[in-house]
Order: sequence, then structure tokens, then C-alpha cells
Amino acid sequence: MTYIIANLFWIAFSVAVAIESWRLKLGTFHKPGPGFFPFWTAVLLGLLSVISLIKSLKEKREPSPGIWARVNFLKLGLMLVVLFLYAILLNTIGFLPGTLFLLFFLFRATEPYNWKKVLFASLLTVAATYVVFVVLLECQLPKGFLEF
Amino acid sequence: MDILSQLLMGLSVALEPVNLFYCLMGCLIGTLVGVLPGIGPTAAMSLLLPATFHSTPVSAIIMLAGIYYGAMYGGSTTSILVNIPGEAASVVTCLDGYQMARQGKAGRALGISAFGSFIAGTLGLIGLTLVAPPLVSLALKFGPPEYFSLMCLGMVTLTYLSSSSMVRALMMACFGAIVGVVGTDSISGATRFTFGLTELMDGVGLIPVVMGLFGISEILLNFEQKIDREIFKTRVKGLLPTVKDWIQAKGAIARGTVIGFFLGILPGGGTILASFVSYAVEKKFSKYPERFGTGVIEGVAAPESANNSAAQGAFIPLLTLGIPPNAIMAVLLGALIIHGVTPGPLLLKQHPEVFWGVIGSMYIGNLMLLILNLPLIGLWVQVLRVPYPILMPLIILFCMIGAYTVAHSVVDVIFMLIFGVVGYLMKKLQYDAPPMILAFVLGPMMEFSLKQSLMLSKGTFQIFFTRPISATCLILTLILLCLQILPWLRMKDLGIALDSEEKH
Repeated sequence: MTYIIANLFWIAFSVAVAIESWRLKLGTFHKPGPGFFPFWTAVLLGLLSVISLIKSLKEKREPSPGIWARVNFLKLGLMLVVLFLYAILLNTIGFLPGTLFLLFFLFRATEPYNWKKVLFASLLTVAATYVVFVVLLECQLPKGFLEF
Repeated sequence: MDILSQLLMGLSVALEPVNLFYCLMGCLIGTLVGVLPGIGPTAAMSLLLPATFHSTPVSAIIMLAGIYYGAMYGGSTTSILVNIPGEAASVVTCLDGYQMARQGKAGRALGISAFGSFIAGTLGLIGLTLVAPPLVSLALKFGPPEYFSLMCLGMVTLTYLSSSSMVRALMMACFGAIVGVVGTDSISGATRFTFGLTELMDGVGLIPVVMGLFGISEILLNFEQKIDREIFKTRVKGLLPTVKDWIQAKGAIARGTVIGFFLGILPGGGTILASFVSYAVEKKFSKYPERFGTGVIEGVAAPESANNSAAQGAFIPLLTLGIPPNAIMAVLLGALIIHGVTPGPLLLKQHPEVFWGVIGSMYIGNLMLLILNLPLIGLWVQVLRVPYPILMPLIILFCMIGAYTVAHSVVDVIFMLIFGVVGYLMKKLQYDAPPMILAFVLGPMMEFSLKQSLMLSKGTFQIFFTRPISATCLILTLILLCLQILPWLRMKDLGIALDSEEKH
């Protein structure tokens, strides 16, 4: 079922790309337009997806059931939410406070270390990162509304 | 003699203090990355690419190249001591290396691995030095049809050797090519698949894609499993191989060097393929094949020599033709372009200091790595003891910073995370990432060559078959595609894996 869904996704994706490429104009073989290359690549992707779908249905091949068994979806989902929030709010909050919260979360999420040790490690890492990237490498990292 | 004088010029560039520093940094980071499972040279190169923006192109490439071949050295340490490959090209070294460690011969295994890597790397470099300049003359005869056909051959070869099915690998190549055309079309100026985002006008950045696909996805994968690393407790001593070890291993080193060099040049080939093939060849031609896997020194010497030699050989198509033979070289190509240097036949003419400077630095880098790897074994073992739950947040942080500093835009960070999720799902569903990355980098070049060829030929495809080099490449491509229907000829049975940007 998993592979079937995956192949259907690729078929849908290739159809979407082909439609958008058509809209961009294919041009002619003598003078290909901007949609020419992505259109034919999408057609090829679509054909390959159909072949793969037929193979999946014929062979009834599925990924090993264990691949999802060990996944803690809640933990993984939470981590992704935190990472995306960090990225979205980075400019607003600023690098230093944002990274401190991020590291605190990540250190606690991977292993349940003592929160004081985690806080210390986070502060140390943020400070070291600041010295290496901002002071030594002169990278410009966002300051946020706190202006630091 | 001309090659010699050029090489001496390159060495003089490489011996400049700043370039020596970058070479050392690259070798150190490469070894570290090779030692540590969970992050590979591709992710490390992507992470450090923004840090090279302040440097010259030659310094940047020297460091990035150092990371690549340094990782080949470092990967053997963790394979031998922990039975976990630090990077995918060292998978095979686990088979006999760890067994040697268990028999109290860890030092000799590490020693022959380091010396074999040095010898093979140096010989590979000599091959690169001799083969590259004449190949440049041949490359000048390449026109758009030849480039398009050769890139097709490279793509199909890579997918043919994929660990998953060729159909799925080709699907990933198509996906990569589509992602690669996002942005502004270089010929018509039309924007494609940008969805109104100005950040996408220049396309999806290489760094967020690579860091996401290989760095973040690996983190997400490791997040769900505990990596138990039982480091071999016995103190590692006696790093110099014995005379008997040298006699036993000399043939393996020589054969590994040759196999690795040619497989490294081959489009679609790479260090992993080289290590697997050399191990298989060594076992096949050995007087005692049944002892392979129980701790024979040839089982360590052959793959380690092959992967280092392949690492040097892989630079040939990149520097001479501007075509990366594998995904790691694709990242280097991206790095060169970012620095305003276009690799290819004109590189030697327009930027000889880059061409020969990189080659010169690799001679020095090989020597540095031999010195780093043997005396510093104790240090690398300590690094291995750092718990992964501490390393993981640091790697994420470096990825975030690396992606942000590309263009000081959070959009790149978001794209990195998106591709991290994509890469995670790809790994779970056994879709290979290397074809995707190679097509992502080559796709725009293929499109440009295809369009130019069609304009030249007034819309017919005859041009691809009337020119000999192009025709040869396309015929080879068709043969590989036809061979797909004969599964017993495929090398999948040898357990060949791609230059897995999963571990690069």
C-alpha cells in the first residue's frame, strides 16, 4: 500500500508539472520554449511512475513493516514543528535567544538529561557558536527584536 | 615536461600559507566527518561551503576537496574499531577490519589502511596529473550534443548501479531535474515554478537541498534509533604493518588503486562502487577466498586503496569536462560556480592556478592525512566516544546556520527542512538520493545543451547520432537501459551501493 500511494503521488506530481510546463509554452523542436524540458521530464517521470505502480501491484512489494514500527511520530513531529518554527521566527526572535531555546529543546528531546546540565550546555554552545560564526567568520546572523 | 612545470606551479600555489591552512582544515574536518557516523562528506562540504565565501576559489576548493578525500581516510577508523562505517565507502572495510581488531591486530589494520590509502591516493593523483591535461584537448572537441549525451550516460550509469531499482532511480533523476529548473530560464527569461516567490527566482539553492537531503534527513532517521557504539576496548598499538603484511597486501593495494582510479572517472561510478568491486575482485582472485571476512589484511587494503584512488579519479571529469561523475563532485561543481569559476576544458586555460593548485594541494593533503591518521588515532577514538545525543543538536545547529548564511534568508532554512523531510521519506521508501542530486545539478546544464543542440540541428535529433562522441555515449546509454531487462547481469548481487549521499 505504501509504495502504491508513493507511486500515485509521483503520477500526480508529474501531471501537475506537465500542466504547468504546458502553460509556460513548449515552443517547437527548432526553438524550444521554457516549458519544453520540464514538460518532457514530467512525462518521463509519469511513465516511470506508472511502470513502478504496475510493478508494485504485480509483485505486491511493500517496504518492510518495521520501517514505521520504531518511529515515534509524536516526537518526530514535535521536532519538525520546533525546527520549522525556529526557521520562521528566526528573524523576529533573533539568533541568540532562538538558538538557546532550540538547543534546550533538542538536548532534552534526544536524551532526558538533567535540565540544568542542558541549560548550561545550551548556553555554552550558543556562546561558542557566536564566537566562531559572528566574531571569527563575520557571518551576519539575525538580531531580532531584542537587538542582540 | 610541460605537465611537470605546471604541477610545480600548482604546488607553489598549494604551499602558500593560507592554502596550506585550508588544506589542513579540510583534511581534519574530512577525517572527523569520516570517523563520525551520521554525517558524511557531502553534508560537511555543504555545511562549510558558506564559510568559504570569504576565501578565493582555489582556497575554497582545496578545503572542500580535502574534506572529500579526508573522509575516505577517516571512515576506515570507525569501521575497524567500531564495526560501524563512518561513511559508505568504508562499509566493506568493516568485514575484515573489525575482525582484525578483534584478533588484536587493530593497529596493523589501521596502519595498512592508512598506508594503502596514501599509496593509492598518490598514484591516483599521478594518474590525474597525467590524464587530465590531454583529456582537456579532447574536451575542446565537445559541443552541446556531446555534453548532453555524456550527461545522459552519467545519469543512466548512476541509476543502473543504484541499490534500488533502476526505474525508481530514474524517477529520482527526473525529480531532481525538475527541481533543478525551478527559477528563471536562462534562455527565455521566463520564471518557472516560482509560485510568486522572489527567493525562487534564482532557483532552489544547492546548499539547502544537499544539507536537507543528506544532513537533516540523516538526523531524522537517527532520531528514531539508538546508535550503539561499542568501541573496541583494547588500546590500539603497533600501527606499522609487518613485512609479512606488506607482502600480503601489496597486490591488493596495486589492484585496488587501478580499479578505484578508473571507477572514479566513470560517470556514475564513485568511491563506494570502487571499494565493493575491489573487495570482490580480491576475493575472487585470492588463493584463500574462504578466509575473507575473517580478518585478512587484503580485505582491508584493497577497498581502502580503491576508495582513495577513486576519490582522485573523480576529479578528472569534473575539472576537464565540467561534468561531475557523482553527487559529491556535483556539490564541488556547485561550489566552483558559486565562486565564479566554471570547470571544464577552459578551466585549465583561464584559471590554471585553480586547476593545478587543487591538484598540487591534493599531494600535500595526502601526506597530511597519513600524518594525521596514524599518530592521532587516540584522538579519533575519543571523538567516537562523544554521545550521539550531544552531536545531533550540534549538527542541526550547524545545518541551520549554514543554510541561513547562504543568502541571509530564512527561506533557504525552510527549504533545507523541507528537503530534510523529503530525504527522510526517500530513505524510508528506498528511493536513492544520489540520482536526484546529480540530476539537480546537471539538469539545467542538460537543458541548455539540449536546446542549443536542437537549435543547431534545426529541430532534429540526428545531430546526437551523427557526431561520433555523442553517438557513442548515447549507444552506451541505450545499452545500459536495455540491460535493465536482464537482471542477472546487474551488479546489485554484489551488494554495490551508490556513493550514498546518505553517508556523504
